[in-house]
Amino acid sequence: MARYGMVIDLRTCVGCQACSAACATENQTPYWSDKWRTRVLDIEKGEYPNTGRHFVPTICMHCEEPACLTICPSQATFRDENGSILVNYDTCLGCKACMAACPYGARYVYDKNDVAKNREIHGELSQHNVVHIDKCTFCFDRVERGLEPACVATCPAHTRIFGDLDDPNSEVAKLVASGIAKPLRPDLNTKPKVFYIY
Amino acid sequence: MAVENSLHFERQEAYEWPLAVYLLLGGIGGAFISLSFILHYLFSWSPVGNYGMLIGMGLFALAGLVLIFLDLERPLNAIYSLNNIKTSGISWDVVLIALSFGGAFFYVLPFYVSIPALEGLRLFFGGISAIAGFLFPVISGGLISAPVSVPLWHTPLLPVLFLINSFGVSVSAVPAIFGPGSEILAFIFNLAVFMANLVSLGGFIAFYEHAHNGPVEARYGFHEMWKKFNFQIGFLVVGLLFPLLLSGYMLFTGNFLSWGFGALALAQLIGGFALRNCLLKHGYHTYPWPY
Repeated sequence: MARYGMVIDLRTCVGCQACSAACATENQTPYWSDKWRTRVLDIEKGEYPNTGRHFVPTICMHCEEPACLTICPSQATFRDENGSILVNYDTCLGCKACMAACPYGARYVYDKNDVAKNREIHGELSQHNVVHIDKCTFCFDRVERGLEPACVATCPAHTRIFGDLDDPNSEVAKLVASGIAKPLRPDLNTKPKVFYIY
Repeated sequence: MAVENSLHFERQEAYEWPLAVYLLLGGIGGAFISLSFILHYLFSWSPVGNYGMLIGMGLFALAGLVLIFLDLERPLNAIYSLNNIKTSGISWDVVLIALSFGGAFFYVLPFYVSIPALEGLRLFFGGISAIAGFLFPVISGGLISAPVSVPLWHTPLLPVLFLINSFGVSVSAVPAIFGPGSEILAFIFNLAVFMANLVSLGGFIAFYEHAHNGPVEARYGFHEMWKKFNFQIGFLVVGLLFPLLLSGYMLFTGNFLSWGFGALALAQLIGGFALRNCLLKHGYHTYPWPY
């Protein structure tokens, strides 16, 4: 089994939001409520003349020690065989404990208004038919078919790199091993599998 | 100050006022049951043993209903809440409510129906109920404080504060409802609880303001909370200062006001809600984006 992870190179991100759009299209996330599985933050820092503008793509870190998984009372949050953290919509209580527990803001409520709107848009092809807490799945269905996650495939700047962290020949494993790609807040001990180059 | 520069504060949106009500009702329910058992078992105070337990059960039932119908996005899926008893605080909350409620039920039953087989087990059921009731505010406080994601909550002082606060309301409510019993004893209990409240609050302040490794992130939420009218008036004045002054006045002058205990209980109830609601409201995620 693989241990999928991602490297996000902030040096190359141009803030085009193509990843957010691709994800929303692929996964029917409720963009109409400004809720996203992945989004690109536009951060301005500093004071004139020393200012900077930075784009930071954010996404579920698919942690190895996920706070959202241990706190979930119904085990709706689970880890699949490839180490990705997924949600079983059928048993999710909607208690939002996972939202509170996630240090990376990766989750949101797919509420009844969002479900209704999604049905209105997608009809029988709707992927979200019940209220639940939603999050990134690393596009496991695409990955099963040998494709990359939608956000990775669509990125024009090769900012997002996806692969098997256990495969020493993969680009992600090499970047992580080199030390150039680092996890955010490793002190929280959640062991994220998304790494950043900045 | 590179760390401070890269912190992004965003108010948490997961827990709102229904959870504060749940924590308050559940905490008081648990404290009421524990207190009723102790007062009945040790001091043979029957009305408290009977009706006090029933009040505690009612509060637990109410807390459960608030959680299920006002907080959960999918109330019917509450049946799955025991799936993760190993690590989930919510699962433990459910277990404790069930144990305390069930134990209290069998403890109270002999007041109404004579079941000889139950007599011998009464102490056992009462003890289970009291222990689970005592643990509820601790575990529910732990549920909030366990995750590292909201620094303001991430302190072992939070369960202690919830526990003391829950007992504060109950200690005042028992004499308010059932008559003071021993007035001096009731006042001393009250004062002890208020002092404990003050000490835990002092611990909170010291933790955020003076600890050498004081988390900058937690201090942010704490300062935001401290500045708010709801916290200043709701918790500090109504929930803490007023009961302290009233209790102290009554104890030291010997002038036991007829409305004194009722006012103490009500003030602490308001303060208890203000405390929980303000703490939840000012929980800020601190997102670690590199810029």
